[in-house]
Amino acid sequence: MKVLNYMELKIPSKAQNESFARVAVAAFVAQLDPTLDEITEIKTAVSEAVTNSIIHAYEDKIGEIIIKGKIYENYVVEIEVIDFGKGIEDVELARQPLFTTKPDQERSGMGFTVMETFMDKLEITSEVGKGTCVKMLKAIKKRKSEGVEN
Amino acid sequence: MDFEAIIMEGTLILKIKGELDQYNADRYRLRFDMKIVSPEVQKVVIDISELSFMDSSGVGFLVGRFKTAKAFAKELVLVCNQTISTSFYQLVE
Repeated sequence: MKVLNYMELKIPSKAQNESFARVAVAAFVAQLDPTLDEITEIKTAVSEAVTNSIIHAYEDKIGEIIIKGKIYENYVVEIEVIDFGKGIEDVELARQPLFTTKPDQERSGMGFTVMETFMDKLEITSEVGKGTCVKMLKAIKKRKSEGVEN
Repeated sequence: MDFEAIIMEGTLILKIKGELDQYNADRYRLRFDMKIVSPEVQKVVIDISELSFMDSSGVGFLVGRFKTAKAFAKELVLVCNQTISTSFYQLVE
């Protein structure tokens, strides 16, 4: 698939940046003229991924989070959220609904489930001690002929 | 995120506005619990109808307040409307 547009964002893992990250991604995706529901779904998925990096990957320390966005042909959006934190030991287990390593902290354990539900595809690659990359894809329903030049 | 708290005849109404994510959940958790456990409160109503955004951290936050109310034998009611994505509710169910 041909990349038509892309962006990259680097932020420290501060909770204040959660809202900035999801709004920035939403603004990037806005060029495809998505519906309000599509925007909300993307914002929520990004928020989940960034929250994971802040809460789980870096825990009490501050590290870097990289957010990459790509727009492919046929209105397909790809979002990557990358951190260099502690990594996930068992990705399959982490993907299970309601699974959480921090039940004492009111974690719902729904982060990956939300990402899976709201996006069309979710790929998680993780290495313990090195970090995690969450890649999400979503096809935006085509609503107008102009916008991104194909 | 911002909220209004009103106590009427033993019922505490907490109206949340704006975005409920992990950042705001951490900021408001203690303040909400302090109000919920107050002896003059018998019933709690959390109104999220004016929330513009909520993720799973927000769901965790609401479940946490339910638990606080339950631990102090108080009833908690959630008020919401359709603006929060309905798919989120399907997910939570």
